[in-house]
Amino acid sequence: MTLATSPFAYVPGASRLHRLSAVPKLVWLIAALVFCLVALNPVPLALVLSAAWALALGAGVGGPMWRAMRVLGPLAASIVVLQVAAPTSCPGGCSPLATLGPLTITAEALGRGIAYVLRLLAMASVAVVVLVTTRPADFFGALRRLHAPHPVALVLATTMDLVPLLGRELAIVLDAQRARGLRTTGIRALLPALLPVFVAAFERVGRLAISMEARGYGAGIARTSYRTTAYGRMDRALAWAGAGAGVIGATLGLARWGVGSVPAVAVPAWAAVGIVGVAALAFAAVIGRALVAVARA
Amino acid sequence: MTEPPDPVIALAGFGFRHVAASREALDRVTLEVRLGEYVGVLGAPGAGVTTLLTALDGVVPQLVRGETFGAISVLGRDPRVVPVREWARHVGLVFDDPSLGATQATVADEVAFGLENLGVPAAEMDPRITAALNSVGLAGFESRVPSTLSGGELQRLAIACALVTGPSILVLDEPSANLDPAGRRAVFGILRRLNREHGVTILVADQAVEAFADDATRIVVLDQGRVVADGVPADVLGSPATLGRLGIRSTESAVLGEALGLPAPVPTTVEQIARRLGRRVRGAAAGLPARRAADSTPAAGEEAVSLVLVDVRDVTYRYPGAAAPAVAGASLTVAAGEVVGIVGANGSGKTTLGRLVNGLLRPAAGSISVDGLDTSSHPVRTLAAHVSSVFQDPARQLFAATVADELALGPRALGLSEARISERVRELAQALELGDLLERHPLRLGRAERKLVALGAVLTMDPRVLVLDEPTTGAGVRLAGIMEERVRAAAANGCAVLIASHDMAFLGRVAQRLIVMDGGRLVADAPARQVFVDAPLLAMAGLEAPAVTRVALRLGDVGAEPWPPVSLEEAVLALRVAGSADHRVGEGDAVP
Repeated sequence: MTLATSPFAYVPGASRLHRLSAVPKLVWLIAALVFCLVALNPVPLALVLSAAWALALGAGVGGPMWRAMRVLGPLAASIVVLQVAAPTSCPGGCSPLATLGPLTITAEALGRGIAYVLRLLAMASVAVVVLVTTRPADFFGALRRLHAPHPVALVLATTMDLVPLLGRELAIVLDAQRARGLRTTGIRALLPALLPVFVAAFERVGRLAISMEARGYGAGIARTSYRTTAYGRMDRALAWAGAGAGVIGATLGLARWGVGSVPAVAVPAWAAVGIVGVAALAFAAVIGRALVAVARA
Repeated sequence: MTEPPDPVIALAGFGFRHVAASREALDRVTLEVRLGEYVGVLGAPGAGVTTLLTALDGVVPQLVRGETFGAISVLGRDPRVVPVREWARHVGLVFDDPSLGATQATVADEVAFGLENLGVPAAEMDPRITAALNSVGLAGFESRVPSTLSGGELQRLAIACALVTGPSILVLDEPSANLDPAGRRAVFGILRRLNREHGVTILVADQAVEAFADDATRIVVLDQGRVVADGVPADVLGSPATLGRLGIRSTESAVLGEALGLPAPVPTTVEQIARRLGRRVRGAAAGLPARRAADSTPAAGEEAVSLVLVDVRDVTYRYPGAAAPAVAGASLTVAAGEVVGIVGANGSGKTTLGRLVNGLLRPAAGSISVDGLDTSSHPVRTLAAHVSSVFQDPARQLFAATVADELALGPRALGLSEARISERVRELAQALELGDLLERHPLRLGRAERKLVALGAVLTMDPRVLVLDEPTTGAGVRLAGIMEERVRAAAANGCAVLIASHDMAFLGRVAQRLIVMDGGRLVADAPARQVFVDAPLLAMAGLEAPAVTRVALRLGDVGAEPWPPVSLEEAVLALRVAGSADHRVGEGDAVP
């Protein structure tokens, strides 16, 4: 079941990245995400993507990274297709590369598509590499250390726990449907499955809330903290460096690689057709599969 | 700490009605509990037990909304007014599902959660955490991750979490519902120690009455929200017929005593009844029974013809990412008309074996054939016409908007005619006593009724093979009785039935054969009778023979057949034959 191997679930390990305090990881993650959002340029985005992959391979979590990339593949393909198909405004005049029937592929549109795809992959990669090397509980601790209010930290941490939980529940319900001889593909199968999934999840969350409150959670007393996770001088320095990098990155990104400055990607006509063709095929495959599923239901 | 007021709990005419409910969940309950008492609370599903227990720290009505009546006082304060979260240092609450996960870190973090909430300085936490873990037998578990604990260990952790804040009252609602016999013994052993050695006041509701009959100082019985009995266990549990009318099963020992015609109040524990019967049963010899038990006749009629419907051959299955296989090298067959129990500790592979048989999991090695179909080469949807399963949690397998639709869903998927479908639905609704609920939404029913609907939903498919996972958990006597009947009826129709369960009394009544699993391995496949006398096997697999069997074994071989008895009916017959035959016998007469 794919849900059991969600690319975002923690993968136990003993690498440097695993052992690093969650605080600098969280700060660097935020910095990287902000940078990716402001800088829309293939070069810095590719750099972020490669850095995330280097970290992932170093920490032995290439598997989940690869799964995340595969999940995002169809979305990436559709971005390229839609960018190329949409009318592009080019301040300095468009430079057509090739023509595919009614479709004209311009260097500007292609550049834009590639930049968006790189942004998507870079952001997903940094998120995955941090998520899979950090235990949810450590995130909770890090959020607390960064002075996030306790309830906010708790909600974030339990939400991370809830995603795999919902996945497991859905898998069980779909199994139950199959075991009863019902269809388990298509919208018509999924809808009735969602109700038991949410009923089960709500019942569980309700019980958790009751049991937490019965254990004194939310009492008006200043909470103390049992765990004082190792948070050394080095971690602190790294966290500050992350914050600094975030500010510099954001400024640089806005100044140099802002939205208006996406470079055109001028490639030979055959390459342009190839890129768009492959993306279009992948896109069509996804749409086709969805249509078949709906028709079957 | 100041001296707590006594009684510690006092309810006077206390009532509660859920928002939008038509009748009171609790109705004019008057009850006093003194410091250091150990109170067992009994009631059929829906009798108001959970409502009563959770009212003690204000969950009802603060988190579960509704209207209250009368007066309630716990340790001199009104739990309706004092916020739930402020009760943590006075009342500890434990549910059937450990509901942990407040921190998702280590065992120590989980226990520390309550202390953090109360603002206990970090330096004082470790000794208190250690003490709480020690008191539940989890010393040294501090750095373990809860998800790696067994069901019994998790439940003990939940008790430690409740204890760490130092409550003087511990309230537990079905703490052993999901536990194997060994886990159950451990949990109730802890409660006994907390009560006797630390003076903790305990209120516990659990279907396994046996587990606390000896320890409780008092039993309170609820029916339709009212207290209908309140007294020492010997009196309340000693009248099994009275309890039976309320849909509550007393201890198996008491039921046996009554069926044998002992005067009320009858003895309530294995120990007591064996002592009492010992005087009456002629020739009661000490020592274990002879091993001829192994080849004595099975409980139900044995068919000479054996059409094998389930054929599991050398099957191994490992969950992705798991270090050890969940099922390893298992081989077994189940014939038409056979009822086979799968028993073993939590995590021994029972559920996995069931999921392999219905095709949801495919063996990594070996093969499984169900009604002649290889599960590896047929889609689950095809297999569904031959094998049906009822899952442990029925909420996950109910999809329709009404109970009637739910029952019709399977046959409709099989393409039966509407006339035939409505006929089947009608028949089953009657057999399962669901007639009044046909227009209700399945997910708005209680857990026990959901279970029955889930069973009905698969029985409408008229399966050749039926796989049930913990069918009697939380079901209560009435529903368990209906299930028992349906299982027998299905078997009589030639259905092969596999039941994974911790309920040895239930299996003793319905199963001819038991498969014993331990760590994914199939360690025994033998008649129930033979398994229940194999003490080393039972100990290894964390199991326990039914109470009636233990009573008989204590009496020693009395020369009755079959020996030892594994069900109430057999025990009545055996012990009546062995003793004087002059007393009244209840259902025992119906035994062939």
